[in-house]
Amino acid sequence: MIYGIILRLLDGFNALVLVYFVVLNAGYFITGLFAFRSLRRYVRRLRSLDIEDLLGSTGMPPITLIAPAFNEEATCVEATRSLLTLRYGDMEILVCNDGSKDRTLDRLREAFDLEEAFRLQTGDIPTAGIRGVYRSRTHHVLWVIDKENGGKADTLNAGLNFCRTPLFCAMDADSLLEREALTRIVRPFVEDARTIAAGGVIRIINGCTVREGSVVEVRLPRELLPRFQVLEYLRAFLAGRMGWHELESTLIISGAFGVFRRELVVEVGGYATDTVGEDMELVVRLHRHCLEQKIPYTIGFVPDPVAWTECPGTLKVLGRQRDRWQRGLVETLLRHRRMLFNPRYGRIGMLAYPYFVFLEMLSPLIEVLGYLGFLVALVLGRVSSLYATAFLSVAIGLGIGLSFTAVALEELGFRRYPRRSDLYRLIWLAVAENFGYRQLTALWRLRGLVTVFRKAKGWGRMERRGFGVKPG
Amino acid sequence: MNWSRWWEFYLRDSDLALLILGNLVFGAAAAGLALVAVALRISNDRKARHWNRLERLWEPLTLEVVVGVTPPERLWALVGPADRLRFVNYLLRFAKRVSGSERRIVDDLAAPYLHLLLRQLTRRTPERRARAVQTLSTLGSRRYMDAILRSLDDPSPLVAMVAARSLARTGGPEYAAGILSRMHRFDQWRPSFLASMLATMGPAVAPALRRALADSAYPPSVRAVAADALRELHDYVSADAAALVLEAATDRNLIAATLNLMAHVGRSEHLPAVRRHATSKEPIVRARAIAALGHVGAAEDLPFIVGAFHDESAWVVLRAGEALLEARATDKLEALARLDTPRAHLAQQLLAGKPA
Repeated sequence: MIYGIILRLLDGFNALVLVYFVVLNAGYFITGLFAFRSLRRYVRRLRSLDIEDLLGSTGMPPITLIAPAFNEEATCVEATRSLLTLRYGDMEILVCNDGSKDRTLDRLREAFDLEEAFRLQTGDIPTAGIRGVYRSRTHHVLWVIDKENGGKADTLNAGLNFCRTPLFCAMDADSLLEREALTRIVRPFVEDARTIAAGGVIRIINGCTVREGSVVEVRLPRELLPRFQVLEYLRAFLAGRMGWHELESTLIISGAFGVFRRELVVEVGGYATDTVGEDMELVVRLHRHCLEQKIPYTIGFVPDPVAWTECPGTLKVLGRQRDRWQRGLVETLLRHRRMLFNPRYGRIGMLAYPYFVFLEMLSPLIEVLGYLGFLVALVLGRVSSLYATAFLSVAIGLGIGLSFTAVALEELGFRRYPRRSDLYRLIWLAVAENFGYRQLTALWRLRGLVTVFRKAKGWGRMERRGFGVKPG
Repeated sequence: MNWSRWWEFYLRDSDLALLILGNLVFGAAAAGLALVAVALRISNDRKARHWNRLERLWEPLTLEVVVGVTPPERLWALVGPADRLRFVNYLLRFAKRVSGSERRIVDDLAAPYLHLLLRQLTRRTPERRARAVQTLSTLGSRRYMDAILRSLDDPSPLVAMVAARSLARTGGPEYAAGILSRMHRFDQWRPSFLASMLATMGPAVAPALRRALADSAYPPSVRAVAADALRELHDYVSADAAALVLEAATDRNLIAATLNLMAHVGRSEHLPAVRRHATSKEPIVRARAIAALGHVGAAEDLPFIVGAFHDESAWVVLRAGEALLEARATDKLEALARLDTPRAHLAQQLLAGKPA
């Protein structure tokens, strides 16, 4: 009797998982369709405007790049040099050293001839103690803020307190921005004065050739794990964020590359220091603030300014990263849960928020339980050929289709991987990632979901090899 | 394929058969997407190869035409009917590399093909129209000004903006009134960008800008843009109009922009208009007023500027420090540098001629 009930429950659960997978992938697919529309229009628009013309304009808003650094001795000098070569009229660079335990500050001091200086604070967001402010004798736009360790959000807030320009760009100190990336990402702020934030694209630098702070040859990484991540990033940025941008419901701007209106971010209190997902949390808080205060605003996503970043090369580090990302997502969604299905927050509350809660936050739980349920049913002989076909087609087939969409979007818009062999590899990866890699990421994300209440914080250790080394 | 066996299978297990069929359809669609990606790559590679081949053909002759050793007809003979717009695009990029008389030769090379772009101006896609306007203004010299002027009234704000920027860059001051009267179409654009666009027209546009600044019939946002443009032009004549604006205006952004203008072009007779805003509740207005006082202020204003050095707003403090420096009140700055407060460092740095 009890066994019968359990079996029926198992069947019911499996059916539910099937429906969930269909809805999840349909959601991805729909955003992918919107992304197609948006990308086509964007590419046309790009051709209609002259980037050189914009670069030559004195009307581009001044901007401060805030680059938080924690134990970045391997990459900080080259990354800062790369920032200094950016083509943008009026910019300042604040490298904020978050109490690094390695030689990050020393290396910066030696490379850029830093001297102690005074810089008036324009903001008063509470942060860990400032140990010193340095200015470069050789590059007048470069400042280094040395502070006690307080985490990435705290470091960004410290930079924000010293920022004097209407816009600031939050980025990772280990990322390389393309020369015209700032001009391109600032465009929404020029074209629409209501713009309060805009995000760019993050691409993976592993496998690429870097010379003098610039990516000179784009290639897929040689190792499988980073290759999978290339595909993931394409899917997340070109199919996901581009689609949400078209729906005017951007909830995530990557912490590695985003531009914000300083005044508004200070007004909402800066980055939250009690979450590991400070980038998403800030964007959601900005939405909430503007909608509650009835401030006309828009948050954009621009698909062609690129920040290149090194991705994890080992399962251990990748697992930690995904765990942290999921925790950040969950913490943010729980914190602002009153937005869920709340018509006061328009399409954010009624569309984007439910999507992220039910289809992003819960997906690892349901995905992992779904695989387990399928295995149990298989062992118990409860899997019909109908169910097996349906499960495999939604769990794997739809995922492949979705990845193909992302590859097609890349071809439609940017073609950053010029070798045809890389394109074929991407197509092959779209199939291969469904056999092991996707399940692994679901497990890591589930771990993040489970541990979210432990409130573990930190940058997450990332072993950097430096841009000079050509990573595999 | 044995269809009767499939039919039997369908009759036996229709759900599974339909699912398999659905999978086949979806699989075909997914494979189609992958094929689209590959086809796009092949097609784009082919286009790029064709494009490079043409450029390799055109480039040496273009250089020869530009230096005057080959007549343009030889180059035109290499442009096939299907490649005429490509040739214009090529010249558009080439034009950025040359200037002066060489640049004029490039314009002449493009001339026989530019009429094709007029047709593009009627395309449905705004981005294409915008691209056509931009090309016409870059390569068309003043021949197509009427078409560009008409584009100011294009239904798409993007096309209108590209037209306005084109007119500002390549047209003359006679187009300023036309642009200013349509500024309401650009109210979404960043004011500093608009001001920069207007200022590119040069000093000859200043009278029109002065009229716009003084005319309360214009929206405050347009008048603020005019003030910013006049500041970029360092138009000293506009100081009187600016003073009148400061007497009457209530819009924060207009007052701030006008004070900024005053900080560059104001004279001592405009002091009363500036002083009335030095105690404003708005930090941005206070900061701009202090900066203007630094430029036009009298000795009697120095204690007030010193007081502003202790303002609660960091922006006002910064402007006060810079204002004391501009007013050559180094003794006041030295006194502030001796204080036992963190802001003393700011004064020290300013005195040392370093950015604060």
